[in-house]
Amino acid sequence: MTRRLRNVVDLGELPDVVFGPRDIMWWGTLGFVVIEGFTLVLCAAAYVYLTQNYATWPPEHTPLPSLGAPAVQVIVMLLSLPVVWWTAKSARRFDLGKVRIGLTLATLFNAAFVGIRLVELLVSLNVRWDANAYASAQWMLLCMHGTLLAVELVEVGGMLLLFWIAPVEEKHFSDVADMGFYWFFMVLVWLPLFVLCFLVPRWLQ
Amino acid sequence: MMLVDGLRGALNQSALEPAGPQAATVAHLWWFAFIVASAVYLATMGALWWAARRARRREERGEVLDEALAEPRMTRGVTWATAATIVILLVFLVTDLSVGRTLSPVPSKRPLTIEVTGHQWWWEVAYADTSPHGRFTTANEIHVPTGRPVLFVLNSQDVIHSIWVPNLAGKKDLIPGYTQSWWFQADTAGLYRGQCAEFCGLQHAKMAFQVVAESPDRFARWVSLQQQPAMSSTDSTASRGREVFLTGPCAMCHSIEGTSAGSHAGPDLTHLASRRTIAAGTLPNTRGALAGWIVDPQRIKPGANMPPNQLEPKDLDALLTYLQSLK
Amino acid sequence: MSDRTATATPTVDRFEREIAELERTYRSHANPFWAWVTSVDHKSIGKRYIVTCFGFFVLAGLNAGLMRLQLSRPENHIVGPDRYNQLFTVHGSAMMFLFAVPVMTAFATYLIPLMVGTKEVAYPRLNAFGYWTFLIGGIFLFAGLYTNTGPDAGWFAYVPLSGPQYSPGKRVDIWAQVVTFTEIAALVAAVEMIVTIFKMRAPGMSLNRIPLYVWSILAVSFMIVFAMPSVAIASTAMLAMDRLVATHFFNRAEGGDPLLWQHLFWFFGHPEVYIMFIPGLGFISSIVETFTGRKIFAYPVMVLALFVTAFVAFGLWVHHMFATPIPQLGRSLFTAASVLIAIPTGVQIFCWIATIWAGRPRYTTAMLFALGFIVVFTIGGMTGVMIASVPFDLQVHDTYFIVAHFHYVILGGVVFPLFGACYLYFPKITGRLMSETLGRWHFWLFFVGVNVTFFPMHLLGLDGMPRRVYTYLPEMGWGTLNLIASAGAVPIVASVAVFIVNVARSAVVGVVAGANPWNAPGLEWATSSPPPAWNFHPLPVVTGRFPLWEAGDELPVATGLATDRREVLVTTALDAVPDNRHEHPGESHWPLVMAIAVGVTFIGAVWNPWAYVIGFVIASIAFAGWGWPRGTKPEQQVTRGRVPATEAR
Repeated sequence: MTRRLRNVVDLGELPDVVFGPRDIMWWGTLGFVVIEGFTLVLCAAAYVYLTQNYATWPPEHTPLPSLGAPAVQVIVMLLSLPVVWWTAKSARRFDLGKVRIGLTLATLFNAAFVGIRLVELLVSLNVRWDANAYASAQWMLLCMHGTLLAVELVEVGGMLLLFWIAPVEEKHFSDVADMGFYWFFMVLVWLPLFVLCFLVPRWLQ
Repeated sequence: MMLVDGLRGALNQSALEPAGPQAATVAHLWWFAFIVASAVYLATMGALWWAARRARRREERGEVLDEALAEPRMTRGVTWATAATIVILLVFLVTDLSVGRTLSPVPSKRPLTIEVTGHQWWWEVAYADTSPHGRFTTANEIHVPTGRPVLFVLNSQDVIHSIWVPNLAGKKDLIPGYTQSWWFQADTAGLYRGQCAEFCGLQHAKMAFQVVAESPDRFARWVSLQQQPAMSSTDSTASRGREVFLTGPCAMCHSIEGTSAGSHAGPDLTHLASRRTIAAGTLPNTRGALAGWIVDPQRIKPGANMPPNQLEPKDLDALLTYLQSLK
Repeated sequence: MSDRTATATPTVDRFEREIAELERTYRSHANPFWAWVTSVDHKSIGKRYIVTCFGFFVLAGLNAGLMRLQLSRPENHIVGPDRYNQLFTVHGSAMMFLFAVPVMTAFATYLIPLMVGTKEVAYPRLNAFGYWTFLIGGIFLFAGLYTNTGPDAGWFAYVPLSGPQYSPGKRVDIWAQVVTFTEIAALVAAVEMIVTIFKMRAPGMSLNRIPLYVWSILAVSFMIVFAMPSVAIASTAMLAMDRLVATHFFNRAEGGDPLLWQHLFWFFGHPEVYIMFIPGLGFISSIVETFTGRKIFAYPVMVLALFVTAFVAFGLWVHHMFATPIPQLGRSLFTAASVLIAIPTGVQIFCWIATIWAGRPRYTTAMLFALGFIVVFTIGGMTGVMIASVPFDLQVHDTYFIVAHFHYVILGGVVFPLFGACYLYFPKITGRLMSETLGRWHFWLFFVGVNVTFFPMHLLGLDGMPRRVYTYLPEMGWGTLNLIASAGAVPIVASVAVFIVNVARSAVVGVVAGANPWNAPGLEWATSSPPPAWNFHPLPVVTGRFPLWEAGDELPVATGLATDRREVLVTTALDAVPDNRHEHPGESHWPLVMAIAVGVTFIGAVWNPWAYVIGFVIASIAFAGWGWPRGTKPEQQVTRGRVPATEAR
C-alpha cells in the first residue's frame, strides 16, 4: 500500500515557549490542582461527617484551638499573593532579575508557611492527634494541606536554585508562571479550611 | 434424634423457600425480575443473532446495503429498543420501590422484641419483654412464635456482622456503636438457619444460628423454661461436672444462671442442653460433638476465641454429663 | 502505511534525512538493561505495564484457583481460614488494583498517543514514574502474601475488622499502602491521558473526530481524578494512621465512625467498577468497527452514553450499604440511579448490534471476544439491575449471587474486551499476527469456563451461601454446585495457558502483519508495526473521523517539527489547531529514583512513621534531579536582565 504524503501544514514557525493554558505543563499543574483540591474537599467532608458524632465540637474536655498562629498564617499567606503575582508577571516578561527576587521572596514566604504550620500543629491545636476523633480530624486537615506546603517549598526552593546557579532557559519562565498559578490555589484553598479548623469549633462549641 | 433434627434444619437456608411474609414478597419480586430479565436477555441475544445472520446473508448473496434505507432502520431499531428498555426499567423501579415501602416499617401489631448482639463468632440473644419476670439470655438459637412479628434490636460487640435468615428476611448489619432494628414474621413453624453475612474474620464461615419458629403455646413453654435458672441435678457425676465447670477455665468466659459462673465473654450456657446445635450452628448438640468441641475447639473452628481444654477423661465425662443436664 | 514507504513525493529525501536524525535523537542507552530502566517511551512503558498487569492477573488467578479447590467440597482442609482470608483478600485487591484498572491504563498508555497521532504522552517521565510506583506496590502485595503477611480483611477492608484492635500485625498495613501506590499510579496516568487527549491530538482531529476508545479513556480518566482520592485518604490518611499512630477516625469509642470508611470506600469503589469496564466498552467499539468495516452507529449517542455512565456512576455508592443505617429516601434515590444507569449501557449494546447488522462482520478471534462480551456482560447487567432493588439486594447482598453478578460484569466487561483487544492490537505492538486457531481455542475454553464457574453461583447465593467463607457444612447441600463451579476453573486456566502460548509463539513466528493488517480506520494503523520510537514523522493531519478509510491515495501531513530534539506538537483543546511546539525530555533514571523514594516512604511507614520524613528527603533529591535543566537549547538561555518576549513569535 503506498499513499502519497501531502504536506498541508508547516509547524516550524510555531512558538516553542508559551504561557498559561497554551502550555501542556500548565495543564499538568491544573490536573494536580484538581486532584489535590478534591482530596481536600473529601477530607473536609469527612471532618464535617465526624462532627455529627458529638454534641459539641470540640468534644467536652477538649480545649479550643488557639487563634494566634493560625491568624498570622492567613495574613502571611495573603501577603504572599501580590509578591507571587508580581513574580509570575515578571516571568512572562522573561525578566531574570525580578524573577530571582520574586523567587527568593516566595521561598521565604513558603518556609514561613511551613514553620507556622508546625506551630499550628504543635501549639495552636492544643490537642494531640490521638486524643479523640475531633483531634484526628484537625490534624488530618492541617497535615494534608501542610503536605502541599512542604512539597511546594521543595519546588520553589529548587526553582530558586535553578534561577541563581543553573543555565536558565526561556521555558523555565513558563514554569515560574505555572508555579504562581499553583501558589494561588495552595493559598486560597486554605481559607475555607482555616474557617473549618479554627472558627467552626468556636461556633459549634 | 437431635442430630437428624439439626440436619434437617440446616437445609432451610434459602431465599426461594419463604416461610414468612417478607421473604415471600422478595421471592415474588425475584421471580418477577427473573422472568422479565430472561425475556429481555433472550430478546437482546435474539437481536444479535438475527443481526449477524442478516449481515452474513447479505454477504453470501452479494447484496449491497441500501444506505439510504439502512440509517433510518437502525435509528428506528435502536430507538424502539431503548424505549422498551426504559419502560421495563421504570416498571421494575416502581414495583421495587412499592415493595420496599411495604416491607420497611414494622407492622403496628405489637411485636415481640429480641436483642441480638454479634460477637466474633457467635450470636448473643436476649429476650427482654416476654414477661415481667424479666430477661433471659441464650445463644445461637432464636425461638419465635409463629404469626407474630418479631422486632430485633441489633448491636455488635466487636466488628461488623450481618444477620440473615433467607427463609424469613433479608439481612441487616450489626455495627458496633450503632443500634439497628430489623424484623420478620414466621408464618410456618419450622427450623430456619441463618448465617453471618458480613465478613467478620477467621470464623465468619462458622457463625450461624437457628431460628425455631413454633406455635405461640410451645413458644410460651420454651420461654418459661428458659427463664428458670439452671437445673441443679442430684446426680453425683453431674455435680462433679459442675465442680469442674466452676473451678476450671470454663467459668472464666461462660455464665450459667443459678451458679457462680457469670462471665459474658462467651455464650450463656444456662440451658445449653435445650439447644439443637453448638459452636454457633456448626455442630449438632451431641455428647460426642460437645466433647470434641471442649477438648479441641481450634480444630473445629480455627481462630475461635475458645482455648483447648486438656481435661482428665473422668473430669471431661463429668462435665459432659453436667452440661447435658442443662435442659 | 509507514512513513518510510512514502515514495511518490518530492520531499522524500528530506524525510529520509529527518528520519535518520530522529533515529539519533531517540537512540537509547547502549546497555540494554540501562536502556530499559531509563526508557520514557510510552510504547516501552505501555508494553511492560501490560505484561506486568497480566502477571498479576495470573498470580491473582492462582489465588482464585486455590479458593475454588478449597470450596469444591464441604469441610475441605486444603487451606485453613487464615490462609483462605489472605487468598480472597489478595485475589480481590490484586484483580482490582493491580489488574483490571491498571491494565486499561497500560493499554491506553500504549495506544492513546498513536490513536491521536502524536509522538509521546504529555509527560513521559511522569508516565515512567507511574509504572515504577505501580510495580513496587504490586510486588509489595504479593511479597506480603507469600510471606504469610497477606492482607486478610477483604479488598474492602471494613473497619473495625481492619482496625488496630481486630487486625494486629502488618497485614492490613500492607493493604493500605498498596492502595496508596496504585492510586498514585492511576492518578498520574489519568492526568497523563487527559492532557494527551486534550492538547496533543493531530492537527484537524477536533473532539468530534476522536475514536470512541479515546472518548472512553477520557471519561475514565476524569472518573479516576474524582474517585481515587477518596480511597487514598481513607486508607493512607485515616486507616493507616489509626493503625500506626492511634488516631481515632473509625473508633466509635472516641467519636470516630466505621460508616465513614464505608462511605469513602464506596464513593471510590463503585465508580471503580465503571473505571474498569468503560475502557472495555471502548475496545468493543474499536473491534466492532474494525471487523464489520463500518463506522459505529450513532457516534454522538455512544459518546453521550459513556459520559452519562461516568457521571451517574458517582451516584450509586450507597447501594453497597443497604444493610447499614441509611435513610429510606436516600435508599430510593440510589436505587433509582442504580436502575437507570443500565440505560446508557443498553443503548451502546443496541448500537453495536445495529452496526453488526449493517456491516460485513468478519468473525476473527477479536470479534468473537466482542460477541462474547455482549453475551456474558449482559447477564451481569441484568443481575445488576435486580440488586439495585433494596429488598432483593438485602437477600443476596454478600452472597454468591453477588460473586456471580460482578464476575459476569468484570469478566464480561473487562476481560473479554481486553482479550479481544489483545488480538486486535498484538500485530501493532509486535508486528506479527496472533494465531487464529489458538485464538479460537482460547475463546471457547474461556467462554465455557466462565459460564460453568460463575453461573451456578447465582443459585448458590439464592440458596443462602454467603461470600468469603472458607468452608461450609455438608448438610447445607451446596456441594454439587460448588463442585461444578470449581470444575469450571479448569477450562479457564487452560484458556489462559493457551493465550500465553499464543502470545509467546506469535511474537516469534507469527505472520508478519504490516502497518494495517485489519484495514482498520484509526491513526494507530497509519504508522508501521511496531511503530518507530517517534510514532509518526511527519505528523498525520486529520480530516474526518476515519482517517484511513477516508484518505484516498494521498495522506495529508504536517511537517516542521524539529528532529534534532524530541519535539511534539501541542494543539488547541477543542479543534486541534496547531498551537505550539513542546520539547519532551529524553531517557532518565530519575522517575525510578522517585518511585523508590515513594516506595521507601510508604513501605517504611508500615513499620515507622518517620519513613514519611526520610522518604520526603529522598523524593526532594529525586525531584531536583528530575527537573534540573538539560541545557539542550543553548540559544534560548537567558543569562542576564530583561529579555524581549519571544512569546509573540
